[in-house]
Amino acid sequence: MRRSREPGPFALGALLDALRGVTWPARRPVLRRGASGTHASRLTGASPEFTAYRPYRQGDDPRRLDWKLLARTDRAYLRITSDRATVGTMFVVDASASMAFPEPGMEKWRLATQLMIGLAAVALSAGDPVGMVISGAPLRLSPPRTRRGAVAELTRLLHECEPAGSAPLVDALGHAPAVPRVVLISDFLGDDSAELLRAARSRLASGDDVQAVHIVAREELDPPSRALLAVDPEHRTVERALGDQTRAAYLAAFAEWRDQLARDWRAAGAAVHTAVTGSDPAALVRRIAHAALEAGAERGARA
Amino acid sequence: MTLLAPVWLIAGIAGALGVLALHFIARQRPAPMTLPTARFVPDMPERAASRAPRPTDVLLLLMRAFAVLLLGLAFAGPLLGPQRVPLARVAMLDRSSAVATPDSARAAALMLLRPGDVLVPFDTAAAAVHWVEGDSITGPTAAPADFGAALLVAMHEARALSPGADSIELVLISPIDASSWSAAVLPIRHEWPGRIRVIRTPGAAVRSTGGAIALRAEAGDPLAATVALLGDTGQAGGGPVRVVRDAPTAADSLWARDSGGALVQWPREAVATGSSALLSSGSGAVVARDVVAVAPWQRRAVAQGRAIAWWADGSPAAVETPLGNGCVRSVAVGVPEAGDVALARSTQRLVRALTASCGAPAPAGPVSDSIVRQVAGTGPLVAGTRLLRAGTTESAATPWLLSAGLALLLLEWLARRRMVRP
Repeated sequence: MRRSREPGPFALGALLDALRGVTWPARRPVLRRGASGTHASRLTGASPEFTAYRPYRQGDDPRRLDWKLLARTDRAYLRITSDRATVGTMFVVDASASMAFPEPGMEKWRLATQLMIGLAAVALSAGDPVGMVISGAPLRLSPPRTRRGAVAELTRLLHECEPAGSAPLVDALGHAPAVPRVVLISDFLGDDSAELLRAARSRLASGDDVQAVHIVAREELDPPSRALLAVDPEHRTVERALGDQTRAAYLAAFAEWRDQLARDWRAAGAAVHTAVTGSDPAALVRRIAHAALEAGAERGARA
Repeated sequence: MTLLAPVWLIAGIAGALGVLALHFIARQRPAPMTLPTARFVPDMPERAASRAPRPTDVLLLLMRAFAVLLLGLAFAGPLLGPQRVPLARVAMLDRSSAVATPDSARAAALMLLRPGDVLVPFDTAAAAVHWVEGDSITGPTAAPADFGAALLVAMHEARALSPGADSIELVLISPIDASSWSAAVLPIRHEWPGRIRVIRTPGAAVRSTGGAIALRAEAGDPLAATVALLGDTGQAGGGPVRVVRDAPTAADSLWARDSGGALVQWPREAVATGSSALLSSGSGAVVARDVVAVAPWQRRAVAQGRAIAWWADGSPAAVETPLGNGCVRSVAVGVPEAGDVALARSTQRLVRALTASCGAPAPAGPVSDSIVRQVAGTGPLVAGTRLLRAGTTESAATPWLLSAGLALLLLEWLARRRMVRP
């Protein structure tokens, strides 16, 4: 398999350096019980952070009884504390042929890998387990891990992969283990957009957070002005003449599609981020993290 | 290089420019480019025409343009001949008896002619002589001139000279005597597209037959009245022309043979004998030289001889037979006894024509200036290329140019196929 173009070690190191200290909180309190982490949990736990007292009800864990209060007042109360949880994060990366655009630099794929590595590093720094599923045939899966070399392992997997084919991203999402946070990194140009959205809704309904990172190439936003025959890399039979007469219609149709895509995913409850090739990947990672922080703060304020 | 049909070269150049213009319109399948968002491009025909900033397919353009140019040049018929001269002359030199000073006419011709030019000496006949320095010019003849024949020969020679000359000039050196003129001259002249340089030389004195016609006729002969009106009456045997209205005698023949005179046998109908038997009567037309006389002539049978006058249907009305130094002329036109036909002007002219000297008509004096101006015409000299006609003159380069053009088209087809093939 041909190795894809990748940022050199210095470039990757610079990215990770730029992301040092960045936190990526969960957009909503975590529902699942797991190891203690840095993210707010919807469950009460055994952390020392006191929240409230609640009268004991049959079935409550007697270990959580405030024995001192019981001795003083002869009333059985439970000591309620907030739980802090980790957020397992799975990255579902699109490795279809459309991500290998534009040739020969494969800027979309390069940006997708940089974003994934950056976000994974940020998540791992908070103790969150990170894993990855790369679509395609064969499908590559790395389960969520918290060990130190997890990012390096993901990086190695990405660099061994070359975007090709038109494998549906929904299959990759289906293979992703159930974790509180799923990040889809794709150009969403596959034929399975409806199924993908349906699967994302299912994850969201189960309480997971789904974030969609839409990778867009600058050449897609502003194609060359000369007349050309646009060929879809995933469907070679789709050939369209792009020239003076069709350029405006193309730009309008593409913009409308992007807006509709964002509306649909946001309506389903997912966070949508657009990343344009040529942008600074560190800034994009910060923007994604900041959006999650704002979403959490907004939710807290509403509560 | 001379082109037989330059319009084809112009058409070829226009075609090549058209090919160039078409190559600025990129009506072809544009270059393919991978674009993942191709689905958002409206599905329109791939071969949309668009104006290209630079000509597309330069190699094909060059082959097509050169092919069109070569074909145009081939049809234009280029002649790769020797060095062309700026001006070639065809000089028509009158050497008939109408020329008073043949030496001055020859001198005028010698001043004009240069090697390569053509001299057309003419009297009743004309022949072309390609002029070479030092050539001599034959002397005058006693024959009359025929300007129409000279013009035909000169125009033919001019066409032959046209491939080697930029311009062609026709020169007429002649007194342009009325005797050399006929109704056919001007239509022939109009066949020549340019002007004709006319150098008029002095004409010979008009030889009148006045006082020289000796008429032997009975009293009351209508022809006597005609001759009298002409003022040419004389005693029989006293002039160069003897008209006998009765049967000719041996003395008449001896006179004609020895004196060189013309014995005109013009029998009066009442005494017609032998060959002058009456054939028909009624109105008819007689043509003699430039005279047409219409009257109720009596038509008679005529003897054998050289025709000098004709009926309207082409049959001879008068013949001439040489006899010694003179000639015997038989006229088979009966002059009506009654009426004033004999007094008519057309009858007088007919009698004048039929009583001319033996052999050639006498000089009749120069034609009018207006006729000379018509002969000279206006406009520039005739370009040599104008006289060239495709088909009459073949170009040796045409087959090669055609082959090269077709070969280029074949190469263009192969190159186009190779380009289309992925």
